[in-house]
Amino acid sequence: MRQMLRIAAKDLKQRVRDRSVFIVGIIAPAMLALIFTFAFGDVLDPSGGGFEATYGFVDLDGGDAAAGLAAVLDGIEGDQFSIESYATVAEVEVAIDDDELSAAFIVPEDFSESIGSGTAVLEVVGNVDTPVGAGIAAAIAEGYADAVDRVTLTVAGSLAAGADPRALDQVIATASNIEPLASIGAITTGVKQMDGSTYLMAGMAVFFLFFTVQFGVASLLEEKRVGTWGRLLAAPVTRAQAIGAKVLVSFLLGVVSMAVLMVGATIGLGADWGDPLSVSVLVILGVLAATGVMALVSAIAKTVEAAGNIQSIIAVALGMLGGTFVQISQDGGLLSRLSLITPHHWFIQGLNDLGGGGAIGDIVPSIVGIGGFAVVTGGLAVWAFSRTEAV
Amino acid sequence: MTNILLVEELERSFDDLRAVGGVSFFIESGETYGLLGPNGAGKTTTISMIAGLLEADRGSVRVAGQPMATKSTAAKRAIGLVPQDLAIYPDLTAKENLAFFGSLYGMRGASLARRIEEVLEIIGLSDRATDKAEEYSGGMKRRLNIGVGLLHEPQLLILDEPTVGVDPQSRNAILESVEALSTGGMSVLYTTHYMEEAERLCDRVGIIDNGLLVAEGSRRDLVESIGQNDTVHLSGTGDLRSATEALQATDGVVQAAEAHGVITLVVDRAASRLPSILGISGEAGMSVTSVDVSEPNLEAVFLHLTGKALRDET
Repeated sequence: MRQMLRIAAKDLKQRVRDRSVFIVGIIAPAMLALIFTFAFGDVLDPSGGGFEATYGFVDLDGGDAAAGLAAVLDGIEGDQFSIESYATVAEVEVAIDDDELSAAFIVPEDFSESIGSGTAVLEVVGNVDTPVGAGIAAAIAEGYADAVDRVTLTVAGSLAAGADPRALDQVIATASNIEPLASIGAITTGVKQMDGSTYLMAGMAVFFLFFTVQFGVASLLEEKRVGTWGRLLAAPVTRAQAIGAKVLVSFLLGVVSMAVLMVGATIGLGADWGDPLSVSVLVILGVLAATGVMALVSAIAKTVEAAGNIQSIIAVALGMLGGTFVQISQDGGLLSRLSLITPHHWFIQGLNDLGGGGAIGDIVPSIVGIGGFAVVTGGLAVWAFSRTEAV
Repeated sequence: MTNILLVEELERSFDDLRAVGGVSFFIESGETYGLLGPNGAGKTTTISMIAGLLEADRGSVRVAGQPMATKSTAAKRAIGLVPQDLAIYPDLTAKENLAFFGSLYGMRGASLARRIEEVLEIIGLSDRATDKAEEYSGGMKRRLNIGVGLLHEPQLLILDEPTVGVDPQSRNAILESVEALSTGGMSVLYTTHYMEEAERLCDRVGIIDNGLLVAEGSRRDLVESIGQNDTVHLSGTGDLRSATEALQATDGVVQAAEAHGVITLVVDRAASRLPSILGISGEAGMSVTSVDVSEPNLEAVFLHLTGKALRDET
């Protein structure tokens, strides 16, 4: 154990002197998280906090259908959505060009009358500079159009069934309960997960963790390159002690970088990670998982360069798949299922659960997911090391 | 005298390639033993097994009475290894390199600090002790490489071709250091393919070729084993291969081999046969530019035993 600690202390001195570990382990993820926060933080914020959009509304129809859309827009108006009425299309287009609006709803003449014939067209003009706001406007319009279709069909069906035409107002009111607008409601509904900037910091931290731990285990190959590995093993040091020292350095670097980033996010961004003990468990398991897979690469690779390339590919692939930038798991398809094999997915999932007030019992799936990855890759690394020559 | 190293029937293959095939020898306490052989003869593989870096397929190694294997930490404590290639941390200073490796051998505190100063003095790096190794010249790095092996005052110092790629000045400094250590009573295992180094440093020499120890003994024993033959070096241009073949069949020429533009001959009473040697060389298409005749030496022994020249690029 003492020999392992001596080698680890020497390695840490070299890594600290090298300084690149600070760049990869702390500065790069922190900077990227901040940049992404400034760029996309509001959009990625599951609570919708900070997102705002102003929409224009031009009513050239003046009929009931236009009034219905106006009522829908009135309903969503609040802290995040503002509605401005304009008299003409030209006015609203100028406002969009001036970036005063994210999008505009234009109800053309005879819109209400043409609904029955199925030729009604509701126009949405989006601002190319605010794609998210414009996309939401399009979704609102589609939801309204779906509802209008339902109204038309309901009215037609009611008349065919001999309903009292004087009761049509009530039928329309009932059928106009526009469900698609629930998707808009979801934007403003509080969700039990990390806020946008915290999510980004967590994602960047675990993404760069896989690069940071390379500084430990990959130094084994560097020692082989400069010839010191043989000299280490010619000293009264077993191979297990020497490799163990590298793994220990990886683990320490990983834990320190994660701790600095998470504490920094708490202080600087007001991040609330949840139960500290449970978060610590996630961090330790995450570092072990990263160390395991990178140790496996170091056991297989022949050169420092080869190991660096493979490790980078793995780190990026797992990071992207695991949702460190965007939550691929929400896609629901093949990528969603593949993301389950990544420790990143389970790490973020666990932090989401803890961020929503969960405790250790709520992150058991994450513990199993990350721990399983660590055990499998670590076991393979031990096996791979056992099959190679000492020097 | 007691054996500080005992190697018995050591064998090692890499896939189908037999690198070492049954090597046995011993080194007595205080003795300097040379393993002399060309590149690829099996010297480094033998050393790797002796130092516990490689497991042997067969055979055994005992260092200071302790069995050596890759996990034998007790036996490893008795050895100081100076690998053929540099094995120092370029981003650490000489002092830090020495301190780190010293700590692995259980050295610490004032005794470690004192020993570091001694070694820095021996290798002539006292005034550059706090500079990073990457800032050193090639020769200084070589000396630090040796210093690390010396630090813990091993019972057996193994030097694996320590002068390869070293400038003449540094090479001489290294050889003087080894001589001083030997005089001081340290047991040394020295591998080289330079005949001059083996003759200068070693009490006994083992000649290794193709993974086999083909001869062993003191310089005098080995030279006497081939009789009073002289060594002749012919340098020149033209068809050296044909000249070598023609000379091999010449009366009085015991062995002939060509390497790197030089034909090396082991010749019985060379002085009387030089005219015919030069004539045959010319007839075979070689234009001789220089002739060197020397007394019997280890190179002649090697050529006699293996039919190959030991000479290599320096």
